[in-house]
Amino acid sequence: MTDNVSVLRYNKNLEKTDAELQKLLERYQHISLSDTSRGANPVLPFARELYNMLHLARAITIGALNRNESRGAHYKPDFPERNDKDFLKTSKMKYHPDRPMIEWEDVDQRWIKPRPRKYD
Amino acid sequence: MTEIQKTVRFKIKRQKDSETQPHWEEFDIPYRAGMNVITALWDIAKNPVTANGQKTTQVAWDASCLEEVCGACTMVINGKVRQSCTALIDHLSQPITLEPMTKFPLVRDLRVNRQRMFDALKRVKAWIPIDGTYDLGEGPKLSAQEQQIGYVLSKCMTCGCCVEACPQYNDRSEFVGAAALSQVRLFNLHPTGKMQKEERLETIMGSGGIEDCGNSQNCVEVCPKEIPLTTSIAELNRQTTLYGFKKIFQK
Repeated sequence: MTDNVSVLRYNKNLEKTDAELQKLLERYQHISLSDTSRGANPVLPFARELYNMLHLARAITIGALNRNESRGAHYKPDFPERNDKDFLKTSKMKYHPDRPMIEWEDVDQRWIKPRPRKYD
Repeated sequence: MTEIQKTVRFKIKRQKDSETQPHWEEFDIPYRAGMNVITALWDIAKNPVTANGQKTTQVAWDASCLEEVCGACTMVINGKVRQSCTALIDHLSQPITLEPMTKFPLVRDLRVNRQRMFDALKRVKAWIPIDGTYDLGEGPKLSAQEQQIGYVLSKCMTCGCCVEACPQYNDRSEFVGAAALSQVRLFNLHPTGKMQKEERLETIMGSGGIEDCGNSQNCVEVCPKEIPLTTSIAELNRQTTLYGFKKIFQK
């Protein structure tokens, strides 16, 4: 995630990351705990969180994969411009056992019209 | 330490729960630049194997903010109570010993239950009551001088260093501790908080209150936020004495 799904994003690497995450989710089905004690066990909550982290990581990766533009701090060198025509929308992810389902929600533009962000 | 070391040696006091006897375990952690005690504990969690190659369990510890403002990761490091997030390996002599705080009930390994500190804050009414039934408005202004004093006091994170170092604070005493006393000073300083000043002073004038302070001044030595705890206690001494006289003569 840190290598491929941070500020600089290439679609090829995003696909690779998603495949890797699916492998990890598969491996998660056979996870073992290094500590099986019943009281104040720090391993158990981490293992449970890890499952949620993997699903969330997939949601982020697939969200990034669906957005072929550069917006805000996120930069895709293959698509260096902001694309308001297709992607001035909020990405929403819905849980699905196989793959997070993407949904789009339009941004409320009633009061402020979108304009390019310039610092010059 | 000037020379770069390959591994860092840790000596950690392990205890499964408050009933079992503690034992020591040693760990060798690969050195990385800028590492602190928390990152070292994470390294142990990744590979829980002791220095002599025995498999063990992950060390249990508490941590939250990792920038010395929450107080959760307080433990005794090389004999001195402090936050493990700001305990940089480069500044510590080895082997680095990690022990839990001794003044609180142990949960496991380095994890303790600091409930007694929070109960003390409840006892001394360390808050400004606002019932929300009507708008109180802006309230009186604080002078810049009072702001300066109050700001330092407000940095207290109830970490437990002061009471760990305090000889008067243990399971045989009810002492509320320096942290809670300092909060009384803070809220008595505030113009809106002043309205409940005497109510708060009342809470620290009985058993376990300000009189339990033995003036060893350890608290101010160990406070990671450099809060003038002994000055706070002295100021409260004045406030409670004046209030005590007032109670005698004003019936």
